Amino acid sequence: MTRAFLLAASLALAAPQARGADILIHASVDKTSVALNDQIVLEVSVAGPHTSMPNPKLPSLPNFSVYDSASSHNISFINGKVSSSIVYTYVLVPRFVGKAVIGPVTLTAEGTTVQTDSIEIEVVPPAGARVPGQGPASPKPSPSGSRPTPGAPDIFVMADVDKKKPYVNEQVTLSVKFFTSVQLLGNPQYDAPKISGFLAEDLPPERHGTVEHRGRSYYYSEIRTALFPASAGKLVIGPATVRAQVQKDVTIDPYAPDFFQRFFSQGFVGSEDKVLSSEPVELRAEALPSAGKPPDFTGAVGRFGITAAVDRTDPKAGEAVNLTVTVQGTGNVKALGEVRLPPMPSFRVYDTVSSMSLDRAKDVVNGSKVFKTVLVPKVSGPLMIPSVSFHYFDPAKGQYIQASTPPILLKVGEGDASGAATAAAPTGRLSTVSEDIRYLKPSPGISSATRVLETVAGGGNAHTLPFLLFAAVLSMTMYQEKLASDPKGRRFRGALKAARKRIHQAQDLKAKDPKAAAALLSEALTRYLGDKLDAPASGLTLRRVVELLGSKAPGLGRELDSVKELWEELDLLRFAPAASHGKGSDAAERLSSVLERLEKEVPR
Amino acid sequence: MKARPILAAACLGLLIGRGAVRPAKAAEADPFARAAELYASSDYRGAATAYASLLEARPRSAALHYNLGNALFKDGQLGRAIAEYQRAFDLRPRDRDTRYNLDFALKRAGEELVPPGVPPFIHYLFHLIALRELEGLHWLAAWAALLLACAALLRRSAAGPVGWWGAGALAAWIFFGGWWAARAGIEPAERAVVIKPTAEIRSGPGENFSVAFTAPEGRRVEVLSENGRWMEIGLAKEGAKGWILAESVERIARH
Repeated sequence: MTRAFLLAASLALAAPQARGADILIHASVDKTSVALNDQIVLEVSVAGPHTSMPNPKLPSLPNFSVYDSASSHNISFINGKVSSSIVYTYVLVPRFVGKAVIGPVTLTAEGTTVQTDSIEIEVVPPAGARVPGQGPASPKPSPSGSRPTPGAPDIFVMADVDKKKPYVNEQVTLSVKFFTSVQLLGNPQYDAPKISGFLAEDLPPERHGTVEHRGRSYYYSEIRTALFPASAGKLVIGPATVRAQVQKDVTIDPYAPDFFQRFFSQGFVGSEDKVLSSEPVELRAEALPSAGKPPDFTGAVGRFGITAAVDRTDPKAGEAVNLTVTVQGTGNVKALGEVRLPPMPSFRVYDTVSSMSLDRAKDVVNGSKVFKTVLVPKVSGPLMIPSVSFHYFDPAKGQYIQASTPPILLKVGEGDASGAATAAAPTGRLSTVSEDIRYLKPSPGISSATRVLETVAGGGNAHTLPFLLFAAVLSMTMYQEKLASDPKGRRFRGALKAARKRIHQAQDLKAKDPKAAAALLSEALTRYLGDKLDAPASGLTLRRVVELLGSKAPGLGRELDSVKELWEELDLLRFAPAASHGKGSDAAERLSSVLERLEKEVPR
Repeated sequence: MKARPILAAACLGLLIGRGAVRPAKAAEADPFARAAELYASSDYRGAATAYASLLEARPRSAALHYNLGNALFKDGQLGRAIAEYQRAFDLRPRDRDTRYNLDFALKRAGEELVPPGVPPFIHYLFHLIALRELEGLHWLAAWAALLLACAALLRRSAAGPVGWWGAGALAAWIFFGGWWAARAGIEPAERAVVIKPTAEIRSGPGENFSVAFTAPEGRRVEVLSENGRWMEIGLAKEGAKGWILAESVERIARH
C-alpha cells in the first residue's frame, strides 16, 4: 500500500472560539477531504491566563484511528500577568470510506466547559489502490528493477540520531522510521521510545516517502524528535515499537471437502499481527568545557544573537522608558536564563518581565526570548544605557561566545516644573502623575502648644491627683452635710468638747473672779447635761437631771451622786461668801473627771 | 477669679495649636541646613542620612520626619518614605504639606490618605489634632473640671464663674476624651509599612507555607502578631492577612 502523505497548508476549518473561565479553545484540521490511506492532522489550541491548564478531551472518533503527535506550550509574562497557550496535535487516520464527523473537542475548567464546533470530513477511496480488507496488493517492483535480496524483511523499524556525541543541551534529532513493503490491514500503532535524561521537543509533521533497501522498495513513515541532553555521560534511547497487521497469503485447496466453508470464512487473504521494535540508540553527551566559561553563563547552548531597543530616546526626567532586550537564535530557548542588565545608577530600574516564542522550522528548535524592563531616568542630560551582554556556548565552534548590544544614548530632558514624576507603579502598570511632592520644611521646631500638650499627655500617674483631691473634698463635704442634717447628734457628740472649753476658761478666770469662774463651771455642767439629755440647758434643774439620767442610764450610781454633789457645790460657789472660794480649783478638776465618766456611761 | 485668665490663655493657645515655633538654636541650625543643602544638590541619600541623624536627638519633630520622607522618596525608597510621612502625619496631622506628600506617596502604593467614601473635610477635621495632643487636651480638661468641682464643693455653691468654668471644663473633658478614644480605637496599635518592592505574604510563618498574596512597596499594614522572623499582618482595605518576613516591613510606633 502506498501512503503519500503531504501535509497541505492548514485549512483552519472554522471552528469558532469558545469562551469559558477565560479559556479559549480552537480546533482545526489540515484538510477536510482525505483518502482512506491518508491521514489528517488535527490541531487543538488552548489559551488562557494560567500556567497550567487542563487537557482537552477528544470526542469519540469511531471512524478514525487517533495518534497523539505532539504538544507545544508557550508561556508569557506581560505586566505581571501570565498568559499561556498549548497546541495539541493529533494524527487521525480514517478507517472507512464516506462522511465522518469530528465531534466537539471539550475542555472543563473551574466548573465551566468550553467546546469547539464539529468538523465534517469526507473520506474517499485511495486512488489506484485497493481498500485494506478488500484484497492483498502486489508488492511494488523495485524502482531500479533489481531483484530483492532474499531475506529482506517485509516490515521493520529503525531509530537513529544525527549525532552520537553531542554537548550537554545541544540539539540531537532522533528519527524513528517505519518501513513496509507489504499491504497493511488497518493502521499501525506507534509507541514512542522511552527517553530519559533529555528534554524533548516534537518535530512535526510526520514524513512519508519511498525508499529502496536491499533491493526492495519500501514505503516509510518517519517521526522526528529534538532531544537536548540534560547531563553529561552515557545516555540511552529505548526501542520504538510499532504494532501492525499485515496480510498473509492463504492457500485453499479447491478440491478440499471444506473449500466453501474456508473460502467464505477467510477469502483468499489472512491477517497476521506483528510487533516490531527498533534497536536502542546509545549516545554520549559531553560536558561543556570549564575552561573559558564566563561567570554569568547560564547554560545557553546553540547559536544566539542579542538586540536591545527603547521605545523613546528623548524622555524627560522621571518619565518611563521601556527597554526591550531580545535573545534569539537556534538552541533550547526554553532553557535560556534571564539576561542580566548592567548597573544603571542614573535610572530607577523596575522588574523585568519576559516572554518566549518557539519555532521548529527545518527540524531545528529555534526562537526568541524577550525581556522587557521599565527604566526611569533620575536626572536630566545625556544618559547612556550600557551594552547588555549574553554568553552562550557554540557547539559547532566548541567555545563560549559573547553576544552584546551596542550602548543606547538617551537625551533626557528636564522634568516638569515641579520635578514631575512619571513612573511605573509597583503594581506594574504605568500611571502618570502631574505633580511632585512638596518641598522641605524650613525648621525642625515643634510648636510650644504641642510641646505643652505632649508634656501633659506624658504626665502618667500625676493625673490621678485631681481625682484623689476631688474624692477627698467630696468626702469631707458629705461628712459635713451629714453632721448638719443631725442637730441632736451634733449636740450629743460636741457636748464634752464644749464643756472642756468652758472648764478651761473657768480655770483662767478663777484668780480674778471666782464667782464668774464658778458660773462658767456650772454652765459647763448644765450645758453638757442638756446636750447629752437633749434638753434645754436654761430650764434644767437638778431634779430634772436626775430623772433624765436615771431613765437614760439606769446603771448610773456613783456618777449620779457625783453629779448631784457637784451641782450643789457649784451653786454654793456661785452664791456663797468669798471665803468658800478656795475649793474652785478642786471643783474644776472634779467636774472634768465626772464628765469623762458620763461620756462613757450615757448612751445617745 | 485669678484662674480665669490663666485657663483662658491655656485653652486658647492649645486649641489653636499653632503657637510660635521655637527658634532653632545656632548649634542645631547647621546640620539641618546642611541636610537641606544635600537635598537641594540631589544627594538624597546623604540628605536622608543627615535627617535621620537629626531625628535621633529630636524624635518628635514632625518637620524632620517630613523632610526625611522627602529625601527617601526622592531616593526611590517609597516604603520608607511613606513610613516617615506617616510619622510626621501622626505628630502633626493638620500640616497641609504632610497630608499632601503622604497622599501623593500612598497613591503610588495603590492607597489614598482619605479612605473611599469619607468626605475629605470630615477626614481633615477628625485628624485635626494629633493623638498625643488630644490626650494632653483631655487631661488638661480633666484637671480643670476636677479642680473647679473641688472649688465648688468647698464653696458649697456652683453658682457664678466657678460653675460656668466648671461646666465648660467638664464639656471639654467629655469632648476631647471621646475624640481621643475614637481616634485611639480606630488607629491600629501596631502598624508597619511594606518596604520591599513586592513582598510575599504567606499563609504561615515560614518559607514552607504557600504565598497567599503579594503586597506592593509602601502598603500600610496592621501588625497582628509576631513569630520569630515572621510577622502576621493584616490589610484592612483588602480584608486579608498573612505572614511576612519582618525585614520586609518597617514598624511605625504610635506617637
